[in-house]
Amino acid sequence: MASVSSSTLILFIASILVAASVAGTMTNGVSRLSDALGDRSIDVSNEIRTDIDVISDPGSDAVYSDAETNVTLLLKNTGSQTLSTDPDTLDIIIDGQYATDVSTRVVGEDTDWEKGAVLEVTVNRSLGNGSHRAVVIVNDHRETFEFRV
Amino acid sequence: MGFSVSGSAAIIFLAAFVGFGVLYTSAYNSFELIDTAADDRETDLLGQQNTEIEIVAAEAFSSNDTVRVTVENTGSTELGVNETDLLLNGTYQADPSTSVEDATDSSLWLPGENLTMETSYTVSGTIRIKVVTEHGIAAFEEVTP
Repeated sequence: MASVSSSTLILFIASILVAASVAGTMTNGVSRLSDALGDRSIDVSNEIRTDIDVISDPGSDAVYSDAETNVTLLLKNTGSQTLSTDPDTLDIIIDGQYATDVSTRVVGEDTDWEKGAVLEVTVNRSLGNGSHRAVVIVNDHRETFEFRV
Repeated sequence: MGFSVSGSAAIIFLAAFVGFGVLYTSAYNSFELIDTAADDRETDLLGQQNTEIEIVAAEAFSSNDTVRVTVENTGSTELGVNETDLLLNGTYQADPSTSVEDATDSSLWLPGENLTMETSYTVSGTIRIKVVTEHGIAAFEEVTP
């Protein structure tokens, strides 16, 4: 009789342990999924809220400076959130080549690159005569600007 | 044996219940965040579609190195004066003086109204003028003093 009770107790403890283990794994997985979903939704929200326009005048001499061998682009924030002015958060590609020497500053009365504000981006790059193409990528939002030197 | 099954089932059901609660809250918050962003985007796009401007007058005065531009809001939405940008020969003009017709100090520029922007600029030769609204809609004109 005692052996039946012992084996029942052992089976009970084992089943509880297995159930607890399954429950722990399940809640842990759900928690990780929930965190990932939260992070992804923030990213998607940022992508939706991001919109920029290159407002530089392509026919003017202000885009490319021969003397300083740099390209200056004016980017207007036409989205619905303030964007970072850190050059590391901007990807600039000129004529298919990724630009590494990039500096930024907010022009006008604004201090942050908020909605409606304009960011001046200067890229050190020597260009020859002819047509050129600059691509600006911010938060997966891509803008193309073509100009002539 | 029956008690073991019941206990184990209770633990798993409890974990499933807690897991569903966590996942539902997270999914709902994520949906809300994306839905709000999409609504804002839709509002911006509507504003962009309803925006149209036209440069009705542009003058460059070499006597006092001043450029004056008058732009009409020919769209059907209000525009922010402070978010309207002026480029002269591609150079951003940081602080032009602005004045809305019939409402000098207004920061809003309503449909049908004229906005006059005036700024100091060294006038020599033809000047390329570009006016850009808050939604990125632009108008272009050339003026010779």
